[in-house]
Amino acid sequence: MARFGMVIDTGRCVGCDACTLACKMQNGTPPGVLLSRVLEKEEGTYPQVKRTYLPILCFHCDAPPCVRACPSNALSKRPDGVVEVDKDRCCGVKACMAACPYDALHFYEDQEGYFGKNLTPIERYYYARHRPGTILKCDFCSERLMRGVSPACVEACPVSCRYFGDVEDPTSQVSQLVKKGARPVLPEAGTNPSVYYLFK
Amino acid sequence: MSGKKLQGTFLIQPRSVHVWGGAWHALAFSLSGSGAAFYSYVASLDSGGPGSVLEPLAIGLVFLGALIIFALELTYRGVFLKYFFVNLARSWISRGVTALLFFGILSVIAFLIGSFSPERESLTRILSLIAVLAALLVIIYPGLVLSSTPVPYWRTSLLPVEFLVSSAAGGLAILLLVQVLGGMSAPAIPVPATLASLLAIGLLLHGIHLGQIAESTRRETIELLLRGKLRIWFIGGYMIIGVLIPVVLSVVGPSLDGAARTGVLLLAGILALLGIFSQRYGLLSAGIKPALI
Repeated sequence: MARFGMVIDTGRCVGCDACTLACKMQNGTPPGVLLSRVLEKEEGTYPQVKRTYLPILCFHCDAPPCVRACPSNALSKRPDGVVEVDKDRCCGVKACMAACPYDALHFYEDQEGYFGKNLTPIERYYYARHRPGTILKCDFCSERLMRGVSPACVEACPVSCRYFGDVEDPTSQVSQLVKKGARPVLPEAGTNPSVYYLFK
Repeated sequence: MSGKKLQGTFLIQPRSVHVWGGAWHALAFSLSGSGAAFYSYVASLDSGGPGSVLEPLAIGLVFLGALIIFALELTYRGVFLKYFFVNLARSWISRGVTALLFFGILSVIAFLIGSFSPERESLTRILSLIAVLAALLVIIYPGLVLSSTPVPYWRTSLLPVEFLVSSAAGGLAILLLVQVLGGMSAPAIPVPATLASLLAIGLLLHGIHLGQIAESTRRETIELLLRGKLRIWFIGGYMIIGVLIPVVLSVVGPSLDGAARTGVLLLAGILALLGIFSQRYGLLSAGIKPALI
């Protein structure tokens, strides 16, 4: 069985947030919830300044602390490595949100859209997938994976800084990039994430 | 446009944990912890006796704390969460809620048997003993939940011990209040002196705890607690009002007579309880996760 993973080349990322928007389009997330987003940091003093972009999403850890923390077993790790949430079991206690070192889980509070309580037709369509009072998280676009298509954030990236594939297949591009030095962030958390980064 | 706040940040920096950071959570954990410790004292010191109001008072405090926890976290829009007890093998929240449930059932049964069938004393004692064990878990489980998160300020094995010590102090403060107000005969332990010792030990443990915070968020956490918006709670509410003043009052109080003694010891008990709330509020609100890079 494949173990899906991703390598993100931060040297290529230009912080355009195309991935953020593609994820929002794909998953129809409500206001305030971004399952994929780009963090940034400015360093140095003028004229020696540097801006670092760090695209983040759920890291689909091998030892996911969210799964351990969930009191209702709503979170689970699939054989393909994807950590997913069962909305029927989720009790909204937010233990997973506190347990995740990467802030990759989000709480869906209510069915308020971008223009208030009156949802637009597209919001009504998308929000029917979500249940208020439960957790929303990235599932590597499972619907797309089932069709053999990469996650939306990977396809949308204009500079191709994201690589997606089976990290346990030694011939895959992600596996080779990991061998070349792609590394996870916060390794001290001990979660063994499936998302790796290439830093300049 | 909707003004909903973004969950999370766009900056690579240490991030505050906004889960469990409110006054209601601090109140819930203070009530359930102190109430559970008070129950343990009442059950083990046998100071109440049949028909005593102390056991219902202790059980009531734990229930009040549990009610707040249930209202805040374990229900959503009035719907009770049917799947809550399924992850006992891994989740400290599951274990804590189960302990709360066991404590509630056993303590109420023990109280009812003790009140209506006083001749079944041995059964009452066994049930009370098991309820005390459940109470112990009720006291320490918030510390275990917090210490299993990636927040460096919380991620220490000292935290459950601190919850135990502060709840023990809270239980003693309630015991002191009840004793001073004439609700019970003098227990076998010197309550004011023990309370002072526990408060001092708690402060010492927290000092060691602060020194153990990992480098990644140490500066931010200490800044927040000692110079930031939480200083009023941590320095004022916990260290001064909640520890220093009650310790002095608990040491001075027993040497006084009459109304002065009553007043000083009452104040010591009340301030100690306020301190426990302040400590938990500061602790819960100062959770910071380290920056990703």
